[in-house]
Amino acid sequence: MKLTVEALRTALLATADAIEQQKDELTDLDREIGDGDHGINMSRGFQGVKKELEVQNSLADLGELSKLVGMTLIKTVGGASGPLYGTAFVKFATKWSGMKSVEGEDLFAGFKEATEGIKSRGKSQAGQKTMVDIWEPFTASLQADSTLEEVIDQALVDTKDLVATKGRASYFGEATKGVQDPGALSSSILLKNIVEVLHD
Amino acid sequence: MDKLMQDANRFVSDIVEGLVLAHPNQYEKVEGLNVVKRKGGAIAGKVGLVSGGGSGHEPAHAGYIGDGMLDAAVCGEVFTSPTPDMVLEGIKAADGGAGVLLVVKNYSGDVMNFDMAKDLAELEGIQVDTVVVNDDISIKNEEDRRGVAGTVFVHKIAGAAAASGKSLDEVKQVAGKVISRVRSMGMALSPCYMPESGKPGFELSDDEMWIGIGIHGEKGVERKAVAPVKDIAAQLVEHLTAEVADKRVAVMVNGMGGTPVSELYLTYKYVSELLEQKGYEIVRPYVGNYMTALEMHGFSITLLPVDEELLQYLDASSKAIGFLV
Ligand SMILES: Nc1ncnc2c1ncn2[C@@H]1O[C@H](COP(=O)(O)OP(=O)(O)OP(=O)(O)O)[C@@H](O)[C@H]1O
Ligand SMILES: [Mg+2]
Repeated sequence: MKLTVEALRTALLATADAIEQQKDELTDLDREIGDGDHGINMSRGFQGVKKELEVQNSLADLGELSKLVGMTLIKTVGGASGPLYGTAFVKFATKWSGMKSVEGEDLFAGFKEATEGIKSRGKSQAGQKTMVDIWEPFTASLQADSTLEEVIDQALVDTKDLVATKGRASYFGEATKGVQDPGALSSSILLKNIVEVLHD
Repeated sequence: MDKLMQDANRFVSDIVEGLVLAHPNQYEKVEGLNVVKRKGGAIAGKVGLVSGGGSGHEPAHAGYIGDGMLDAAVCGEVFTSPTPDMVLEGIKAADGGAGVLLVVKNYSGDVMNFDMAKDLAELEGIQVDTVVVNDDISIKNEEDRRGVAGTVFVHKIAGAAAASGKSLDEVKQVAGKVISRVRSMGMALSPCYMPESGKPGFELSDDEMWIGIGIHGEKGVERKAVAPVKDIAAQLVEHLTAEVADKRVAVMVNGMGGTPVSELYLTYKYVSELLEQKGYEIVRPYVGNYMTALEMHGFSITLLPVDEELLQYLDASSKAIGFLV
């Protein structure tokens, strides 16, 4: 499994389109257990990323690409998800600086750093019904012999039954059980699109 | 749901531009961003005060800019925390060389974005400190309590302290004193509608209400049958007085944006009666729309136990359009 600059760029453009398609679904989930803006926030951010990627066609390495994406998300998304996704990409950038492609240990190290970055920015951990519940099992499975799509799908199912204890959803306590966390869903969209290009 | 608007994508920038146009002697917009600052910029030698968060809470937060209160306000998208680069511009606009205090409400989005901005400002050599407001007692777990209408008292009191020449540490300390005392709780009869999606924050039938709502259109913690206002006020007062032991208080009855002022005054009548029956002495009453949630119909009650220091700052002059003294 290998991730190249061109592949990550493709995955990000595909994510932008997928977010657009699932924008209402993300927003509706956030109305259920948040404040009804997650789809709107993610759409604003990934349309911003798409616009940047369309004008920047000379990104030399994964570090440059990830930094551009991270800074764009930080500046456009807002909310809780902006700093969290932004931090994830800035962490990719620190691990993958100067690299044109990554695999094995390097690939894992990037995701490990990104997941830790989300957790420390959000002061959160797995089990609190947030995007961390997707990023953490996904990252762990990069070193295991498992099918990544299945890991993501299973993590989504597992997250649904958790009770939220972090972020806006935590205000609703037990009532969050059985409702999908919007940030978990958007993370699954992004990570699945990355998995898609890893196979190439 | 109908809204007076031109285009959902311009909802916030149109609010900000309108506010600045309506108060040309008082406000200025930071070029290209939804950040508002006091006309003329920072005051040299005074601690700068910056607040902000999502929009939709008008007159918060920009309406609290003015001599005696805030120096800048950062206006995010509706109910969405602003981004760190915007907050940084707010900090720069407020920096008069004596440091800047950020008044942040306790939401993970606001806390993270303001934190990142603080780091960026410190890189530029500006001294920045933060207080986090968490006055909403409807959330049981204290760590998760939201910042709501009590934030206005923090703006007022910290603003007056800064205007009187206090240092960053001193302003932070008095802001912290307000935060440790102030408590709020709110209710809604009907939801508000997000400009972009056009959807209500929650569904509620005509004969129901939510107790324990926040200021972002989210549902409350307890869904109940609608009751006469005195009963509703009694429920909120009961919760609040259980947390406020000190009996000399400033009281705010705050409208959520869609409540007629008539209803706020009649609500206040019962709130004051109920408090007095419980032995509270209301030394400063405030009734009006201070921290709203678009067109939500409902109100919140805030209690702030006061001492001479806090009273003096509450009564100090303020030119902010949302809190004239
Ligand atoms: N502290 C946290 N740690 C990890 N993930 C978090 C945290 N807080 C929120 N999230 C994730 O972010 C998602 C919500 O993002 P969203 O864009 O709706 O921001 P928000 O919480 O509404 O921010 P704001 O309060 O400024 O509007 C949640 O579904 C959750 O997955
Ligand atoms: Mg949200």
